[in-house]
Amino acid sequence: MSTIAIYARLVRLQVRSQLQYTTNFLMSVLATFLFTSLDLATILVIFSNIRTLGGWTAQQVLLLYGAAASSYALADMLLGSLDRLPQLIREGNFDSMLFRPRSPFFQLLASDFMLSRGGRLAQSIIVVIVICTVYIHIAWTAGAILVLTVAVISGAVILGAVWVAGACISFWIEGAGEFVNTFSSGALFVTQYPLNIYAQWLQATVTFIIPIGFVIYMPTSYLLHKAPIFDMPSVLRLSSPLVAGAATAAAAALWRSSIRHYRSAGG
Amino acid sequence: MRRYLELSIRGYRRYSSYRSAVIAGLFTNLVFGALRTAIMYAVFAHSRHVGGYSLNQAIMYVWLAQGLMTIVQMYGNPEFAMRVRTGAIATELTRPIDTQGAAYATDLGRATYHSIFRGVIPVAVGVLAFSLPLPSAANWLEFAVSLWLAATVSFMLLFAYSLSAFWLLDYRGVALVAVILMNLLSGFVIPVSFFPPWLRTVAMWTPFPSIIQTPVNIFTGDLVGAAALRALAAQALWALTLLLLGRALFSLGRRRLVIQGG
Amino acid sequence: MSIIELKHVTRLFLVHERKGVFRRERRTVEAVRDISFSIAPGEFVGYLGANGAGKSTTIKMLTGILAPSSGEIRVCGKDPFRSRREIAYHFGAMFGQRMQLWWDLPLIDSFDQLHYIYRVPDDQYRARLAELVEILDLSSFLKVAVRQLSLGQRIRGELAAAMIHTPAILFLDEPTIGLDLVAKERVREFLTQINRRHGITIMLTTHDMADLERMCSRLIVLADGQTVSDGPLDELFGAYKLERTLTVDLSEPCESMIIPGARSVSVDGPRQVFRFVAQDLSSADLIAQVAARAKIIDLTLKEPDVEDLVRAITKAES
Repeated sequence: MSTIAIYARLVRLQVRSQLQYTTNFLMSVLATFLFTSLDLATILVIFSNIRTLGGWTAQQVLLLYGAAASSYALADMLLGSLDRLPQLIREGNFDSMLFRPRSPFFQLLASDFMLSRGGRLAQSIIVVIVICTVYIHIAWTAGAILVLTVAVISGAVILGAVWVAGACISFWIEGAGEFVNTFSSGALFVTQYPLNIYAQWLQATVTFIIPIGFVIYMPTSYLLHKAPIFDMPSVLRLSSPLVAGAATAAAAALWRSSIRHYRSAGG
Repeated sequence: MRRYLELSIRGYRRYSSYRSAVIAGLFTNLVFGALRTAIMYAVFAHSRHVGGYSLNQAIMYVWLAQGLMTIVQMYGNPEFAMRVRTGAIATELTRPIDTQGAAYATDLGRATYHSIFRGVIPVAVGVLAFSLPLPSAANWLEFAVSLWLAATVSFMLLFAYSLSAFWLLDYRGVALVAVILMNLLSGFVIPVSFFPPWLRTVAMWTPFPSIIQTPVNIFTGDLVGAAALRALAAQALWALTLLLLGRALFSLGRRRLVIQGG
Repeated sequence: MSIIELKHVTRLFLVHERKGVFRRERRTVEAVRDISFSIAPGEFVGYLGANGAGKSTTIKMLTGILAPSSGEIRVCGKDPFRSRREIAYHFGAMFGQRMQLWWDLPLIDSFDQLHYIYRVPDDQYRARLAELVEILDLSSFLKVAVRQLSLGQRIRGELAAAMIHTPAILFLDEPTIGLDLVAKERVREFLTQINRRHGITIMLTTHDMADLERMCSRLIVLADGQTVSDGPLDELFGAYKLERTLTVDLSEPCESMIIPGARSVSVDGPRQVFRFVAQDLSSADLIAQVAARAKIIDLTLKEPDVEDLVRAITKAES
């Protein structure tokens, strides 16, 4: 059985086990749903006081938020287990994954799959759909819908790649893993709001260095006919899939070299 | 009395061993403080006053909230319910100590530790980086009292809802709802003054604003004189109400334990 | 042909030590220094040493998790570090404290999953599983989630899991820890059987003397990263005279007794502790001599343990 198939099988087993405790599961989904809504509530409260934020109206920011949250939720569902890595290394349980003749990466991903993270995904997708259909007055052609869908999926991949890169720190510096978690949740926060409200240096960082600006801001600002930051041409603003591909390649290389380091320098 | 002091000291010591968690936590405070400040700049781009605050006050609010966050356990305390439950069982074995009082004493120790190691730095960043004013002498005293009351209200709330562990197999749902409500209605994610009027009314009928909004407003000088005293009284009232609620739930729960046989 | 071979293997670690508030010193620590040994297929080897002696480092190098700083390692003829995935098929590992099974899933799910991970053909897996279930008596809790199992059940599950892919080598770390006597016996039965009947090479670390005496034919002892002893078990037991400990509670405090063949370790009120070598003085004799001088209320006899053995060997060799 291929490694991907084994991964899928283990996920299926965990889902089945989680669904057995139905009330628990539903409560977790509801809780995740509500927790995610805090960000939504924040935006709504802000806009009960002002009309525009960085030149974006409430509905536009909500679209941005919904799309960013959807990317985050998708990435969280697939790669949420990465959070466990610092603890696994510390307790020596990561070594158990190295005993096996399979990729430790997929073993790690499958180690803590939680279906209840879907609550987050459900909430953000609902927001996006409601906002788009009711409030956003742009022509929702097939092209526009495609751009948005591709943006959300590429965004999830970019976020995932950034998280993998962050997780790799645990292989190099002991105890640094916990710091990375800050960046993951910080990343969600940053991408919910239009980037042009941030200081120049932050805009540059999230566009060129850790490309989470491409998660949602670039394609969405294009769809909403907003002026581009850094005078970026339209073509580049739609290049999330390419950025996703490059980020994945970089993250994979970093992971491989981190494992090699872990095995050479000593766990 | 001395026993409670010992418990407080033990509570303090217990948390002082988590040094690396403190550094990671402070880092989170700094990152989010910075991000939320950026949001505030954008919010105030077109108006000098929003929700009754000036930009400077709003920024100070952000950093104070980050400083207070750990002191008032904004994200709850996962092991707490388990300890309350075992505390109750221990009391059953006729150890002459009051569970709520003991837990409170321990928690004050923790809160002291967090005040020093998680509270000071974010507030200092706000004050130094943004040249924000500090409270006057009288206000400092009021702030200290308000901070203590805020931590107390938060603790009594935590104690009360942790008791749901007596009745529900999985109390985590209750805990999570409480945490979510606290995050929103205390003014932690966004000041209560920014709320639309209807939501502000809802919040005022809950103990949550006493946990963040009140101490922050006293610090920034938004609440002075009689208004400040009224706010402190409100905090005290909530603390007392939740304390009594906690005791009532506790004796009910213990009775249930006895009937069930632990 | 050895199945495991180490030649002049050294492993260095760079350690950062905190000296004072801000300064940090970098030191090179030799976890393992120039060790060499070979293990033939079918051997049952006890692998001992104090904490920090280099045991887990060696096991990590044998399993390909860690690279040696210098020297050569061959497991089943291959370099474990370079061929990690290949040799993974040839060994099973069980580390008493750590979990290899999936916590939330029924035991049988873990087994099924492992057979896919190790690419075990279905019919071979079914036969293997039936065997393991029978020998380790797992049928009553196959469908139970691992987190709900008792310690004894979990260890039996872990042992079975380590064997699903029929490895040629088993690395075991404290496999009987925390088990009651009956359970320990069952585990020892199982291990002895797979070693004698199926020729599986076993490397075992344990703190249980009985484990060593009952199962191992050879003992390798590490101290400070070096092998201080490597030889047949009975030779070692004969060479080192280990002491037993007798603790007596007398009816009233008494002067420290001088008994030939035993040495008095401590006198604490009515309690006296003696140590003696079994070959020099029998426990019955010792007790009789103590009883002749004072009235005994209660007594306990403690056998030498693995730490005593390791200490004795380490002291003798250094």
